[in-house]
Amino acid sequence: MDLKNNNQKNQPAFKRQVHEYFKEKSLSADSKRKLADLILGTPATLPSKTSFGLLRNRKVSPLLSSIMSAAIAASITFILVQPSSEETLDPIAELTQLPGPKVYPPDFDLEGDSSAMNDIVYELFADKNFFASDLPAQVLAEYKPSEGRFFSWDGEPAVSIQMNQNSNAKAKKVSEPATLLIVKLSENSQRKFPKEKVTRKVAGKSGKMRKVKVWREGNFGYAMVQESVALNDTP
Amino acid sequence: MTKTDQQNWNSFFTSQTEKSWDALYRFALSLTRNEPEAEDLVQQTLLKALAGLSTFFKTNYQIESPQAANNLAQRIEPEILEHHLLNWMMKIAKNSFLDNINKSSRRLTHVPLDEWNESEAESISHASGSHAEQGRISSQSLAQMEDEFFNQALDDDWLRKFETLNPKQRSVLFLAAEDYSYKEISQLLDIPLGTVMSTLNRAISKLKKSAK
Repeated sequence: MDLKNNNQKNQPAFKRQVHEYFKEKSLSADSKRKLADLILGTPATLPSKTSFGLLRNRKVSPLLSSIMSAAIAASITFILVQPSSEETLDPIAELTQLPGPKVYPPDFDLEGDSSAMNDIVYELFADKNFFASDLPAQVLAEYKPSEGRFFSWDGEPAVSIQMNQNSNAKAKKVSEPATLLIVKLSENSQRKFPKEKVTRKVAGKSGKMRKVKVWREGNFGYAMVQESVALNDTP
Repeated sequence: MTKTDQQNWNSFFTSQTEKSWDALYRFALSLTRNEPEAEDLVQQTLLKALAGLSTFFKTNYQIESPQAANNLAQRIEPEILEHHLLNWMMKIAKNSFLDNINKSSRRLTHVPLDEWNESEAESISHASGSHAEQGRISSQSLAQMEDEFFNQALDDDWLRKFETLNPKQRSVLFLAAEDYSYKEISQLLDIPLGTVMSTLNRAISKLKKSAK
């Protein structure tokens, strides 16, 4: 082997065959260059939650491009959308006013893989406890998720996901696209968040009426926000 | 740590480990069976190793600065330090591989964690008849079995059979083929010597069985 300078001629057949098979495997020059760049560019203090997949550049991972942009974009959004605690008097109104995934470039796209949310969160934050919430089955029955974005709400991580009508939905009526918001609730926001499902109409900043359906499950708050639709159109 | 110190550690780490990246990748491949995942594991390992580099030198060589590490590297045979670092990184890779499986059951790896964590007793109970009856496997008899097996020519389907082994069996077999001693494999994978032997025995038995 490379490191031990063994005389391979003396190696038995299988040993040599296994060795030869693996010897042919190596990192590409491009991968090595990227690794060197990564190591030489590593700052004095490594981030405690390093997403190791972020610097890959492979076509095999459909989530990768989303994750790469998410790592940068999420931190930006966290700053942009961070509300002050004094403003969180009415969580429903506040959630309704939050910019949806269309306002900023999306961090990820769940189209075709609605179950990938947890993987994305894990890849991004390397800590499943940071944010872990499956998309509600009742929503998925009628909608399919597409682009989404991370943000911070009341000091906790949150995500907004564009939801389009699921073509397989059994619902006879046509549901307008909506935005699903999932927020991790702090102790403070849990107290303000309604326990039961609540539907309200709220005037958006654009002047259009938005309808929001809010509910809570465990430590997570959910809101489906629709623009200018009839009351019975929400899931 | 100052920014300059970190940069010096980074440069030192790159120069000392770069030659071993392919070896580390091959070890990662023996664990993951999947090239993209192996590449990720190498990256993850290198970053973790870099983060723990100063501790590694402080613990093993009582060295606290990158300058002193450079001096050490110039004083000793380069292969010795490279080999020590590679072995250390292999340990990190193995632990990271297990962590990755443990942290998320929905990761892309294909083998459940319990296949690595099988107990020594279980390993021995799966050993071939006469060894199981003895309750333990002698190093000599296993070495004979290993030699006997390694001397067999492999058929074209050997790789498929190899991939049916679990990560521990694959990594032990890989390291054995790389001429690591049982003791070294035991230290690298943090498993008892007996487990190395029983794992290798199981792997060989499984490959022999599937070859029939």
